[in-house]
Amino acid sequence: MMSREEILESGLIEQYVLGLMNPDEIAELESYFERFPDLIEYRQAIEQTMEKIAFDNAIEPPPDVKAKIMNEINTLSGITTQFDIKTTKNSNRWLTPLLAVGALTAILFGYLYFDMLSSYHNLKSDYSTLFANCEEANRIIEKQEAHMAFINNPNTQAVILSGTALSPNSSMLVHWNKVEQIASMNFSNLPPAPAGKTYQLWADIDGEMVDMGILNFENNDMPQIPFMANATSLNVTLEKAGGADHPDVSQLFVNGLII
Amino acid sequence: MSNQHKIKPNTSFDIERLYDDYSHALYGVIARIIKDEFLAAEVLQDTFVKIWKYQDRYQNNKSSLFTWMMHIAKNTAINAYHSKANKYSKNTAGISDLHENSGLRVASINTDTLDLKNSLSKIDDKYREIIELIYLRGYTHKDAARYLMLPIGTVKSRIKIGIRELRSIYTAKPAVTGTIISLLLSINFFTI
Repeated sequence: MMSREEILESGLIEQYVLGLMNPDEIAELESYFERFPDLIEYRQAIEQTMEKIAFDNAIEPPPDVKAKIMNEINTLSGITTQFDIKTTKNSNRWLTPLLAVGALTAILFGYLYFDMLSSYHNLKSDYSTLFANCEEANRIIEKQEAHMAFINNPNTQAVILSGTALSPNSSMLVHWNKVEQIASMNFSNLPPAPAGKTYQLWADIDGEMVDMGILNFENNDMPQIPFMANATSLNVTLEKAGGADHPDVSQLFVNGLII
Repeated sequence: MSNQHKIKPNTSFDIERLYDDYSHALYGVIARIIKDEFLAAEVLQDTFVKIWKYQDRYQNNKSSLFTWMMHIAKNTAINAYHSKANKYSKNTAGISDLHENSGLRVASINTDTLDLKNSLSKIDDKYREIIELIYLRGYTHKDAARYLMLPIGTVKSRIKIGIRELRSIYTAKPAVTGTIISLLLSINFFTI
């Protein structure tokens, strides 16, 4: 049996704190702690000293260890929530700058996104306009090509209607295809019809003037005209609005022969 | 895994908090025993899992929590060291190679190689080297005695005197605590 002083001088408490004792020695010293409670204070002082040494010589562990520990403990205790290995305290020193960089990147990408979205919508709108224009141009070209094909067809002849003494400067051009049986008016410089009057086209068939319809120049397109088999000439007279059953030959403005 | 044993200790340590507060202090010792950083990290992990698993075995009337945790850390590290040493034979230097290193005298374990800081370097070398070996590098007093070629009684005596000297340095300079706190605060300042 040792005295209190002997214990203090033996260095046993230091060895106890340092973990250098075997279980029997530990049990024996612990019995002394019960007997001399002030030895506990001494032990606590040694512990504090050793703790300070450990803290003085601390080394920062690798950053992912904490999450691994928490995950292992969660697994052992049946908790399924897993710690994100990348976001442990030890990586906190990078968290703030990372978040800042992330936020800035997000803002930049957000700006770029909306900027590009706006550009996209503008381009889409421009494209639609161009596409429509292109369609229209194609439609016109097709129409023109068909027209050119019609005009260049060897069976198509140009019928030139010349101005009479009534209107010597007037003229008109009609294309006439007896094989295809198609007629097309392509030029006219008749003066505008006076109010209450209208131009009317007539075909000469076997000496009879046959009505080919009223010529409406109100829109920019040339009027559509019918084909008449056996017509030998085309004639335009100025008639009352709505047209006449018989031509007023005194009002013949232009005429031309179909050869 | 089919019949996984669920462990739920009665008491509940806040392991996350303990890790934040103590992991670096425990790792300081672990990393000095286990040079391989990967293995040292595994030992730290095992240490905290054991702390959590065996928390109901901790008795606060027998030791401080830190002392208890340090014993777990040190024992885990030493066991890991020995199993590694057995596995890889003689390729690693350390505790089990003491005999071969007997020519390597104390001078080689200086403050530079151990990266020791402040208080420990302020006490006499003959005390410092023993505390380094035993407290920070996991030597038993028998290992230390053999390594330093000293009688075991002398080792035990120097442990006691060395610790008392350190204690007097710490108590004579309460400013040290303030320095640590301000140091921690300044570290925090940079980490926030």
